[in-house]
Amino acid sequence: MTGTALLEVADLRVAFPSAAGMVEAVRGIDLAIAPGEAVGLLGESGSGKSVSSLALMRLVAAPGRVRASKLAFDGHDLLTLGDGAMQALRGRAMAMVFQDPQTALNPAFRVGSQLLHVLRAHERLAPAVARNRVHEILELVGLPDPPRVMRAYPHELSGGMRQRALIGMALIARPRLLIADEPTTALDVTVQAQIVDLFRRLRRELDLTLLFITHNLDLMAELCDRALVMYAGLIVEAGPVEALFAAPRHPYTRMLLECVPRLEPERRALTVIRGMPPRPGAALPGCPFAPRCPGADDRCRTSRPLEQRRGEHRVACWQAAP
Amino acid sequence: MSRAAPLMELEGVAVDFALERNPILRLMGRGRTMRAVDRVDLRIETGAVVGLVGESGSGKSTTANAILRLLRPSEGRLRFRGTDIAQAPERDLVEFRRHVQMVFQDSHSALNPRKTVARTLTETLRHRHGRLPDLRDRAVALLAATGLAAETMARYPHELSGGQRQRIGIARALAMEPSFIVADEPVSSLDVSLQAQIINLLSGLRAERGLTMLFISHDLALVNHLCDRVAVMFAGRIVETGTPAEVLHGAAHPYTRALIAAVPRGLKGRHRHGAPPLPRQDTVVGGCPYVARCPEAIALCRTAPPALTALSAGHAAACHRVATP
Repeated sequence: MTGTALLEVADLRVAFPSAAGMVEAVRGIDLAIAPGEAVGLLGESGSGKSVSSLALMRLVAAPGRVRASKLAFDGHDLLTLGDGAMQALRGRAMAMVFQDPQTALNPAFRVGSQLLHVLRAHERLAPAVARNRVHEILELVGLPDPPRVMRAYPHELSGGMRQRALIGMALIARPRLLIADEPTTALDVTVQAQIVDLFRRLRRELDLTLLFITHNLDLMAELCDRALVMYAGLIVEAGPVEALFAAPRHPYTRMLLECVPRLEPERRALTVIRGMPPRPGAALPGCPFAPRCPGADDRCRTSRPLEQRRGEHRVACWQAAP
Repeated sequence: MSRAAPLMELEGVAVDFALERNPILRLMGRGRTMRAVDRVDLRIETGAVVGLVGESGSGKSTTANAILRLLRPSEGRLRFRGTDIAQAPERDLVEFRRHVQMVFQDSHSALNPRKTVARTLTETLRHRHGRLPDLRDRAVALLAATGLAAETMARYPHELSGGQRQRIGIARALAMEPSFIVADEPVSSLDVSLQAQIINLLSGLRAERGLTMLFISHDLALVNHLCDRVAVMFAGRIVETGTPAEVLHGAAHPYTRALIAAVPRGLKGRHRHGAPPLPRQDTVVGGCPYVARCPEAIALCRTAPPALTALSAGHAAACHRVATP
């Protein structure tokens, strides 16, 4: 994928200080996203998926520490880029949508003024032109009657409308990459389906590249082309969504698929992944999943599994058949 | 379905909230009100797990609060083992409260951060049984029953993970030896791998202890997995009720079908598009509350509210199109 990738990351590590010294929340991940692609980053809380996405935008504040051997976006080296130039990329080249639309909007300002504020931070526009741009973007994200939405305060909108307004805010300076961190987790299932539909349409109409962070496997499979599965700060499996779902190769991915109840007429016992993810900073000489893995042996517990490739499908597991 | 006396039976239960700003009218119980729960009928048989599903704002939690008598219903009857407790004064509810326990969604705010697990559990046990010499042993037994080690006794809530805290919430409920547990979204703030652990724990406890349970959730797949009966709520009313097979695989109400269609289905959902548009103006005076969102509405739906109509022995839906196809 080298050369054609919009975003390319190698050996990304993010660490935070703790009583026991610096603790790595992200422990060396590689990731490449091609233009127009939708990539899902799947993981449970504490797996490092949100911290990774913040690091991509260079939003990890001190005393957090980000290291990587490569962090490139659209020809820019984000590792060496100055703060001013990085700030210019945020919003215009890469933008972010967060989980909770309630806290991401300022409750004291009208939605319209918040959108105008963001737009003005990126472009100098005559007031009438700016208003038109906000109208257009609100219509694009499926909010009927843009003047009414602009006049509203955040609490006057439903959760789904607020999330649409936030997606509009992220897209208003026409970024190429949108990072969406659990954008539907706080929403009802019916509203979630609409927001996913909106993302699909935006990909088609704007040729948007999407990094979709979620813990919901079924949702990710509906929307994304490729998936990365994160566990304890590492990517344990990555590949095209079809391959990953039809034939998962890492036991964590497989058990994650089996532990989700589904709407099937026959009830089956839910697979339970025993135990809990390792605490940050825990010594993990081997595979991070070994303590919970039913198939782990001594090698799994003592040495970090190497990555195996089968075409685009990568897995880090000693037990996976080559 | 046996016609034995249900453990809990709701008959025409309604809950109104005051919206009136004038304090005098408010005190007099007059002025503007909002009906959050609208004449709900629900039977919860002894030993059954009943799932209550719906979107946020549909009235599921308010219904649960009425069942627990954490608020007083404005109308209707609430029979616990045959006795109507809808308007009973607090002093008559002591015995009832011993039998009914709740498990909350947010285990973090449901536990006192300044008490160790041991204190939380032994205080509850003492409240139930009095000063017994073996309260500590009983607390350890409760931890074992919920899959936690005895070392957990010395921990404070912040030292536990979300899944462990939710187990403590369940252990505390069990300490009262209840016959009925109301669980309001008990796993929706947990990771998927922990959800399965808690769901299996609940279904195991139910089998071992013969617990009756009201399980409130917005996750239809969870309800399908755990419950014997399902009630679907919309705008304060129960619009469909039956077994999971009847309701989730033979849905009669268009709202139930919309809820089912919205569930993500992995690879099978990749090529679907066009989630149904949902106008949010759900307040229709006089007609069916779902009419503004319903793709199948007929003229009658705008003028008369549909009543819950039986389709088979245990399956009922409140839809004119079902009654008059």
